[in-house]
Amino acid sequence: MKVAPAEDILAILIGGSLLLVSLLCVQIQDAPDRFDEDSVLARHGLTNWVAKPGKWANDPGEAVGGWESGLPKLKAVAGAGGLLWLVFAIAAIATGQSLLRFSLGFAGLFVLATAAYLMAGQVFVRAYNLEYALWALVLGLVIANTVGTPRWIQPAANTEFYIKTGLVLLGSEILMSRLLALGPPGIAVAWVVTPIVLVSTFWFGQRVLKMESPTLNMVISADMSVCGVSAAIASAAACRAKKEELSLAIGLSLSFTVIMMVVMPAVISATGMTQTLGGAWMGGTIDASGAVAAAGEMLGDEAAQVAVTIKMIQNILIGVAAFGIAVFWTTFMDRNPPNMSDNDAEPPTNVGLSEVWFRFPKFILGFLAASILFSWLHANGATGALMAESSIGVTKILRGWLFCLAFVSIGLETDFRKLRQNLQGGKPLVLYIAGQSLNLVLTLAMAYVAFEVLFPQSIRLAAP
Amino acid sequence: MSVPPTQSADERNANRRVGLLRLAIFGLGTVAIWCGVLPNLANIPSQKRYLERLDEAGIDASAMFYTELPPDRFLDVRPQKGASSSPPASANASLAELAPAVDPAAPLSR
Repeated sequence: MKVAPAEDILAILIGGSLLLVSLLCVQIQDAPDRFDEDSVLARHGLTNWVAKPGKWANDPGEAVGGWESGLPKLKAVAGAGGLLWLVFAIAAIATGQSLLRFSLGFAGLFVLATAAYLMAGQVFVRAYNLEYALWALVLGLVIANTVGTPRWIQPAANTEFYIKTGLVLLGSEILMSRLLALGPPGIAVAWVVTPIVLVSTFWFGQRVLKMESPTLNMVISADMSVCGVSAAIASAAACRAKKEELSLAIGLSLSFTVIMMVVMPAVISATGMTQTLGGAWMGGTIDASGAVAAAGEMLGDEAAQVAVTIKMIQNILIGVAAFGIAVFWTTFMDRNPPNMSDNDAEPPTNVGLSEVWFRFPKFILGFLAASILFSWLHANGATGALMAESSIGVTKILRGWLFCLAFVSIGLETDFRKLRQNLQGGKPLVLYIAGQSLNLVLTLAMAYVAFEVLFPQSIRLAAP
Repeated sequence: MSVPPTQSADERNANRRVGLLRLAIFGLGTVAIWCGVLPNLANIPSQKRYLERLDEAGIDASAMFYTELPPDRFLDVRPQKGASSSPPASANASLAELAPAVDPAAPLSR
């Protein structure tokens, strides 16, 4: 992912505009009820205009409301596409692209993204965490490696732009105010173990496995230790990893997530662990939020709630991780290329602050600003919280579409041979397994100490 | 000076036909799996029970980020469970104050 300052600024502007429009569409109304005369409710003006295909069992039409009712949700799916087309068409004009060529390409890309959502929405596929990102990649890859990427679609296949804009929207979902949801034991499991595993895995990849690509090493380390696909996207953008590296990391993460969400509840039941300990263990180790919830539910209500709450606290770490990776890459990795041996390496170039600033992925600032603004709003009384939640309810759908468009674009731009080159003799797989093994051991140890030894009352206090 | 093409027109056409054939096979295979095999897999009794359990709990197992899960799955919003049948302990400690994003299809209330 190349250095493109103008694109970063545009991503912040588009993401910021979407967040602002979404906030302005929130209407707070008085709704006194029998318990609270001051009660209010929030309605979002875009609710009926922005959607993604939902789940379906036997007929894909169910995903957009069913044929009998005339596919009512289709209008909102098209609305999401229309809104995104509008903002990116303005950006295309601003950067001197042809509006017609961009619009044609965007229409094709959006149809493929919709197909990816439909594939991910089938109930069986959905129940095993096979997310839309996987199907978007597969669809793009198959087209690119059979008939080739159609020329007319290429002007809209702008992976980095969609990812950066999606990350600015994701920033608004990182509510720092929810960090203390489980008190000290939650912080210990999610915020102490996770950075240790991230750093140790990266070090292991660089020093022991001697991975050829430090960016691939970082993306795998982050997606395995933090929160799966979303962390892979954020870290890849922060360290400017190649598209094929992001695809590979996501493939690894999703494969192991499916295995872990089936095996871990069985192991926890067989060993007689408490629901709290088992839930904390799964929340800290299974990559994806949905898979954590599903695996927790297999153990029981308490395990599910502890697991998803730990995962939520870990999700919040994504902002700090992305910022830390961006700073580390611009100030250290870019100055000291790791492929040079100590003997033949020239002394590190003295990069000035202006160069560091030039190289810094500036969209990260938009990502952090969105997080700070929405955290402040969420913590600012009931009305502020309602506004933040109502706005996020719509922008998370747009963020999903942006990531889906990005993954279709990655697939369309990827050659299977390049993907195979990144396998590097199985090193990424070894890295993932080694890192996840460390994660499993450390998280279990920390969860035991935090929830069973130091703060055994914490869950009962949190949930009377 | 024009660069001589590495493939003749016939070879390019043949490759294109093979590519189209592969894409068509992929498309048909995808439709067959998604509309035939997967619905049947979802109807296997053990799978059906698993899917129903997820449905009852309101869990989307494919959620990428915590905001895609229902707010009442998180421990810090748990005190509000059952708020519709009894008054909340504190009028200010509401689900809405603590919950993350919720389904935008439903209005939010405090």
